[in-house]
Amino acid sequence: MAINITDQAFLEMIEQHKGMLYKVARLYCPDAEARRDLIQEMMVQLWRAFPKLDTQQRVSTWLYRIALNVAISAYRKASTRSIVSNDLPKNEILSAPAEADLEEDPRLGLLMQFIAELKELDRALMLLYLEEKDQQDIADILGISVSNVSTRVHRVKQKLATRFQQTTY
Amino acid sequence: MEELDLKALWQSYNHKLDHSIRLNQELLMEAKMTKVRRLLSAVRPVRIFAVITGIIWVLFLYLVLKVAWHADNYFLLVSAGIHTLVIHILLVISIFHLFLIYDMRQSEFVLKTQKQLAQFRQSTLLGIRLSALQMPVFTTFYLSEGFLINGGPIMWTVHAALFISFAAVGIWAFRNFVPANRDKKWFQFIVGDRETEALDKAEDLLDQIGEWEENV
Repeated sequence: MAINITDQAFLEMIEQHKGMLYKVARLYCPDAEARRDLIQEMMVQLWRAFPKLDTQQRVSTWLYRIALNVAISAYRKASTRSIVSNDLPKNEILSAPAEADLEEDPRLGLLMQFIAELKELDRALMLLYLEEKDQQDIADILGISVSNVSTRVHRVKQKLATRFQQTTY
Repeated sequence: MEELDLKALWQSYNHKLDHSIRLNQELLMEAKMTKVRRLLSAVRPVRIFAVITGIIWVLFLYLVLKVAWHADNYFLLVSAGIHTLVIHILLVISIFHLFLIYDMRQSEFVLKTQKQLAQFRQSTLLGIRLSALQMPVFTTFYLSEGFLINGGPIMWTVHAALFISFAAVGIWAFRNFVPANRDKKWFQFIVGDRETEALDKAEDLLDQIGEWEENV
């Protein structure tokens, strides 16, 4: 089946940012099988929203907003619904990277574990902070004020530092 | 843990994730290349069969040509001669295809395989076009001098019409079985078969691998 320009542009965009999708899914879904479904759900929602993507908007901000919304809402529902994705352009983006060696550093494993223990909004906040997003971007993506971002980031960092200290000693 | 440590730790995760995604893609592309090789292998038995039957047919045609030569049957001689020539070309094309399939299955270079696949398809079309162009000889091989002398105007007219229609269809097919018409329904109806499907799939997979290689 021939692939059209819109499909191609969408697939290229996803190809560039698939690591981001994986990271969001990793933080909200510990189970590898369910994570695949979650990434698929993200792709479906991104595909549906793609025609409305404003060219003035930063693609990564748009992607984070949708991916985080899907992840948080799936997390709240506790199980992802079955997905009808026949209209999604076919590709292999869903093939998740081999996970065995991703978190072999024990400190990285702990960081993941501690972030996973946070509330869902704080989790998203920490992800965006660690991804070097500025506070304005974080506020835009999460729909909260910049001052709220600043306060929360500070509090979450402290929480993580305490958890690391508790584990070390 | 300090802020910088946290970010450094996250960066190391990012690097590992990127590496893992790349590795995953490489494995995926390798799997696609294996599929291409399998698709090409599926075409090979048809070509082997074509070469074997082609050789047997050519041997039979040599016999026909010998008989026609000794019997001074020039209609049969010229018709069978043209047909033999076309069969020789088809045989060469089939043997060339077997070499191409062997080479493509060994090749690690996508661009080279894409070019060879294009050569394979072009030469297949050339074979079809030449086969079509020889069509009029099937309306002449059975003619004889006796027919020309004793046939009468009705028989001559019927045969002339038959010859002209075969020639017209042959020339039309020769001119129209070109890559530009590949997507047309009549083309796919006549040429489209399992081999075409397999080659389409292989071409598509090679395009995907080529695109990926360009972006790496």
